[in-house]
Amino acid sequence: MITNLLTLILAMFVAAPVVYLLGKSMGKKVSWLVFLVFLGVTVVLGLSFPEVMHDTIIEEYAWAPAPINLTFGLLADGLSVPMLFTYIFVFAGATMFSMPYMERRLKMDDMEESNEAYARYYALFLLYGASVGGCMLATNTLQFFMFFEMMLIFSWLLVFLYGYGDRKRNSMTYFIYTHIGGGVFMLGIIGAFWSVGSFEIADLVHIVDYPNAFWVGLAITIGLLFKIGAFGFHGWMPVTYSESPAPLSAVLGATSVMLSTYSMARLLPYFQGVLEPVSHIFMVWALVTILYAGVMALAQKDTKKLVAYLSMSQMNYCVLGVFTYVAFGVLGSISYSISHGLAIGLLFLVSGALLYRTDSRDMTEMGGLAERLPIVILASLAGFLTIGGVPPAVGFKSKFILLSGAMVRGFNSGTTELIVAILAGSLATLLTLAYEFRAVWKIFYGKLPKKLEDVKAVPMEMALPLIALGALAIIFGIWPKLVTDPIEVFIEHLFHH
Amino acid sequence: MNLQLWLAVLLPFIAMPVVYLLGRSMGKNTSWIALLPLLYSTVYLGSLQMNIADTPVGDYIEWLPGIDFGLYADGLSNPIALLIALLSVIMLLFSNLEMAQNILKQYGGENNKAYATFYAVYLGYVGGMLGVVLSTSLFEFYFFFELMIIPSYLLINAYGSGEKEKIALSYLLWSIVGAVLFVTGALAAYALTGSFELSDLALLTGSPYAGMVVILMLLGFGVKLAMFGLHLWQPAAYANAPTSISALLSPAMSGLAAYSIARMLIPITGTLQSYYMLTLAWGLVTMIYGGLMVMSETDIKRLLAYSSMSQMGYMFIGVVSCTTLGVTGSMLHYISHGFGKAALFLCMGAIIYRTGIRDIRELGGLAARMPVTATVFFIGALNLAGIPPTIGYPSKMMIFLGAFGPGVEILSADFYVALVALISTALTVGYTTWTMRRVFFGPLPEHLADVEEAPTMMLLAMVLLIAFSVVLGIYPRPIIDPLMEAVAGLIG
Repeated sequence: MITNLLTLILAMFVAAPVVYLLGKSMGKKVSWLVFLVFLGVTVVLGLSFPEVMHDTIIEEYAWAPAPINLTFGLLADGLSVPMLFTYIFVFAGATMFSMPYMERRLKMDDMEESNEAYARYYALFLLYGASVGGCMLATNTLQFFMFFEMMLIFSWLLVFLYGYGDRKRNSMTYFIYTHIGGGVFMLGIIGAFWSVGSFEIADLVHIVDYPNAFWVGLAITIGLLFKIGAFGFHGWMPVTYSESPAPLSAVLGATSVMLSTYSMARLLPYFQGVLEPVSHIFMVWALVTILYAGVMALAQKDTKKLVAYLSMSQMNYCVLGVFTYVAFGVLGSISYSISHGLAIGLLFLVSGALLYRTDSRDMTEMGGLAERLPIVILASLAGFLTIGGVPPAVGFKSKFILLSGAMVRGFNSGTTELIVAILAGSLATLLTLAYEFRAVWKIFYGKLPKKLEDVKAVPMEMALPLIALGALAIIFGIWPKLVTDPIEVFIEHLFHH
Repeated sequence: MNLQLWLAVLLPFIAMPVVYLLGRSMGKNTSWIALLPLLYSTVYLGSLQMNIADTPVGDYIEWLPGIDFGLYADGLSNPIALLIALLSVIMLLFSNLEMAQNILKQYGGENNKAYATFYAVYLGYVGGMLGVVLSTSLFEFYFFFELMIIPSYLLINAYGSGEKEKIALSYLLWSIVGAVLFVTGALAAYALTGSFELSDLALLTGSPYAGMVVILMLLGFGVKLAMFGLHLWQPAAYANAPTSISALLSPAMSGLAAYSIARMLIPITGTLQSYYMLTLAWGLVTMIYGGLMVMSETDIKRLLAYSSMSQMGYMFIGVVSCTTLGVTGSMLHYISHGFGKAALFLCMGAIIYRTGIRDIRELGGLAARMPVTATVFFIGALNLAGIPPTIGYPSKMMIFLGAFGPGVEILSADFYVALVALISTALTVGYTTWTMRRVFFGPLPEHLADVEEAPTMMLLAMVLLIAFSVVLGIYPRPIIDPLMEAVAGLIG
């Protein structure tokens, strides 16, 4: 079904100026165009699932002449297609959600509602999605880095222009942290170029034969750990997530988890020879992050801060899985990042819907909303079940696979890994359930406060994305082969080397 | 593909949306629609039971690479699944009137949506339990286990009495703690054997980590059984759920953990046996503690909850004895407790339905007003105490034979332990007859003078339960024979 990957990516980039220009006269209605573009990309990617089960689609275009020999390549395989599909799906949902949400946001005191503001927002939103699309399809690291930086700039602009609170400062924090991560990553790819003489990802196959392989692998890992908010590198994460408009938080969250996991799964297996001996350090690191952020989530009153911390906590399961260097661990990581991308999108949209209807982010001021907002509670249950790893949501099978990978690693290597696996399976899971129930309890059950008595159901543009994301989480959960089959092909290939 | 077998588990799930949608217009008559899929499961599993020892039925489909989704009915799992299906049918008969009263009280009028939700969730709950029993892999077991916990949480949360939300949440959290302990053990088992299949757990025999796996899983199941120390969720959950649900929570669901121990942990030869003194002591403490607590309770449903805890102790000592007789007895006790305790719960439910009173101190003399209920209670009590002609007799006897037989012969420490167990049995007789006296005999208080006998539909449910108990008590072979054969196979 994918006839041309370049067209797919370019369609999004080319549509952006059109959106901007149209938006200047059409105002908020231009969102429909953005939505349709994202929807179209999703459909094309969805239809190409069967294709990437058997083949890898590669397109190459000459970019820079010898001696760099740089090509601009696009690669669709069992890893990139399911991930990008889910990612753009979240974008499509967030775009529709933005329609009522951004209208409210722009009518607030610190903003000025104008066609210009809508045009800029939707154009940037489209560019943001397109850049990550570029990252996930890139065949060489330089190209990956280029799209990575574009992603950063567009998302930074969005946070800067439309965030809440001290948005100048928040967006700067976000920019600096992510940029440092990008810089360290860049050091890694330059180091790799010195060794293997090429930026092609496929040429990294022999990287472990070179003396600097360890440092290259370390730099790439550290760079990505910034993006996924590993403990110590997470300074930007809670504040950026919680102070962005909800649809933006949703895609920021999805980007963090899916882009980082994608890159780790794509790049780090090449470094198995040098990184596996120290991988237990990263496993412990991931566990520390999971527990730290979990405890922080338990202490939050603010709905968006809660989602921010819980997503930070859950994302690091993916780090744990990748660094098991066991087939099931990596497979689990990839599928968990897909699950989590959906769930985190869903939960940020839920927090947005709550803010939209109650004008509050304080959980202690809520209660009894289950009857008032039936779709919102169903959506948040789908999200929470996914994150808690409870069937029939998709998180169940992915977390189960991930943890069984960790357990295999634990029994095959040292005590540290075994303890990490057991704690991640038991303590961390319980912590997850604890903060989830606390949240559901406080928001949806108990007594309805007086001032929330006339809360109405959410508008259609909010309900539809919530239903769509929740439904996908359940569908993938009941029929996991739909999404795991292509990934399985990729994993088989990976561990066949 | 054996569609009939799959339908026995999946039909309740498939029927959920149908029941919900129909229920929105049918109101309380929805129970008749919900009855259909459950009747199918009952009849199908019942038809298997006849030849189950010779022809176990199984079917597998690939769900994920390396993980099969299968169903397997043999001499061990089929009677258990059959009991669950049968009890769920009988409880539906009972639930009809009970829910009508509950919903009237809770919503102050008819509420079709409440009926629709109740019966749809009820089906999910039963489907989850059937899946747990018939599942063939750790992964699938855990899947259905969670699918069983969530609907039961919803049922208590939405339709219970008293502080139902709090109680339901405590039930849910404890259950999940148990599930997490179990799943940690299951993942470790996978890491060690490379397979999720239940039948491959035997490969753990001799592994240095086998003890770890067994202890983790045993603790997980201990929560579900409400063993002493892990029982804090239990009395309130049983007491405050609607009676038709209590009568599934206690007899059908709790004991599933004993079945799981038999299915999963016993094939790991030698490990469970090596903890026998510890597990035996744990079982005895649970028996005695539960039995004594019954005496001190005044709420008629809480009292039965503690009695369940005590009976779970029996099941536990039977199954951890790892002898053919003990394990068979324990499984048989699951079935006997299923009929007996369900009958007692329904009697109490009928009394609450007619009088609205839960405090035993305000009851008395009801045998004159509710003679059938009193008779059912009497036979249910016989069953619980292990007195013929009920099925409680062979089940308890087999547990004792299995658990203490060797000890009695050589007069070892086991002998004295056996005495403790016998005292506990005396306790059972004591608390059931004492309860009987306080509820049904003595002078009839004035405020109960016009109490009527329970409605026919409720009586039908109660009588069916004790009828099964007596018939199987007189002729238990259709269950015991295949059960014994399957258990002997597991012990090897």
